[in-house]
Amino acid sequence: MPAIILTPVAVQAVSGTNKLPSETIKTASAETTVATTESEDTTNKTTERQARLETLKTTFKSKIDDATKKRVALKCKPAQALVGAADKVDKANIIPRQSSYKKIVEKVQKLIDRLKADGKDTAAIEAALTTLSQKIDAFNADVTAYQQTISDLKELDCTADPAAFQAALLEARTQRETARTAAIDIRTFINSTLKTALQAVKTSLKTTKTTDTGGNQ
Amino acid sequence: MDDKNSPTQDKQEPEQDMVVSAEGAMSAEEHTETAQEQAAATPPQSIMDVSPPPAETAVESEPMPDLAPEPPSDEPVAAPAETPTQEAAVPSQETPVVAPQPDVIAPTGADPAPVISEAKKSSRGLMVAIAVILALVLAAIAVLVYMKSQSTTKKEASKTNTTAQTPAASPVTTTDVDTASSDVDSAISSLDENKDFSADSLSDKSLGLQ
Repeated sequence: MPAIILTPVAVQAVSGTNKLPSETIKTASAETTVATTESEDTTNKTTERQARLETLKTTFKSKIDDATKKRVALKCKPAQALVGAADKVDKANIIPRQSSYKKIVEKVQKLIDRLKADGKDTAAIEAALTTLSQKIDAFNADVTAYQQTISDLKELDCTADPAAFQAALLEARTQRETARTAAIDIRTFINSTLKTALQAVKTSLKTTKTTDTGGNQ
Repeated sequence: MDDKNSPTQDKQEPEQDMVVSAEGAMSAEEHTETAQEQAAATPPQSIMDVSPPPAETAVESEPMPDLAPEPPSDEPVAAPAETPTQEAAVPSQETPVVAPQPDVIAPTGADPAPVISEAKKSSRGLMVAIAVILALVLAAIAVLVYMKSQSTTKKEASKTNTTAQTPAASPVTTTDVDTASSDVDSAISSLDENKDFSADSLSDKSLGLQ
């Protein structure tokens, strides 16, 4: 009987934890589940990446010849490290840009709210802000696509599939240029349309003030 | 002993005078009665003396022999100061022996009753202390709840005041529009698209693919 009574204690002492065997099994099963989920996610990501790369290879098939494949296969590994460094620089530039765009939209939106509270006409500036928000959304989408391609470019096995590396690199260059164009478009729109709308609001306020002052005199 | 008996005799002398004035024979009986009374009065004291006193009574009885000569008792053994009064309170003459025993035993065996009473007192004290502590805790909780409710009401009031005052306080002026325009200018002028998205960072030359 004493041996039977001491058996659980001995088991716990041997296991070195205060968990019961059933709890240990549950914990182990949970860890296994998490590991399985992570492996499934990794598998899914790899599959999705492969699909994207196959599409890109088809798109840029005409621009990737055998000589390019051999050259890329030899030099792509150091290039991947440089792509990673460029990605860090891009993120350091893109995040503040997106924050600046957000601040501009918020600032103009507050002004619109106050103008509405004062009973002013805000149709022109509201339309300008709507267009600006759409352009910013497009820019953010371009940046997201570009960063996805850069991620594929860093992760793929360029030695085994140099055509995919070259196709992803060409796509990244295109998307980078698209993002730059979108950013320039936003700047142009702000400097032209949005500031013009703000100037119109200012003029209307001046006119209203002059009218009020004249009416009072 | 003579000196001790003399006070008793002094007390009995008026009775003898009363008996002598009525009848001589009765006086003898009264003397016997007084003797019996004395005997009835003395036996408890003698029993007190005979019964083995407990340690407490023994300790208490030690100083009594010094005080014994002072009362008019016949015997030198001093009884506890309380026992004579208890005996005096018991007027029964027929049960002089039985009656004092509980009175004597009560103090000697006084351990259970005081212990029980002390336990009751201590339990009552504990109950009172617990009640006081509970009352204090409830009072503290009530104060905290009251303070919290006041703080929340103050916060809500301040929020409603600020939300109510914000739109009414500031009508839009041209200065506000200029400020917004300058803020937009400063935000957009700090950005450089050609630098942030330069084509050189992904060129074959920069990546070492040439």
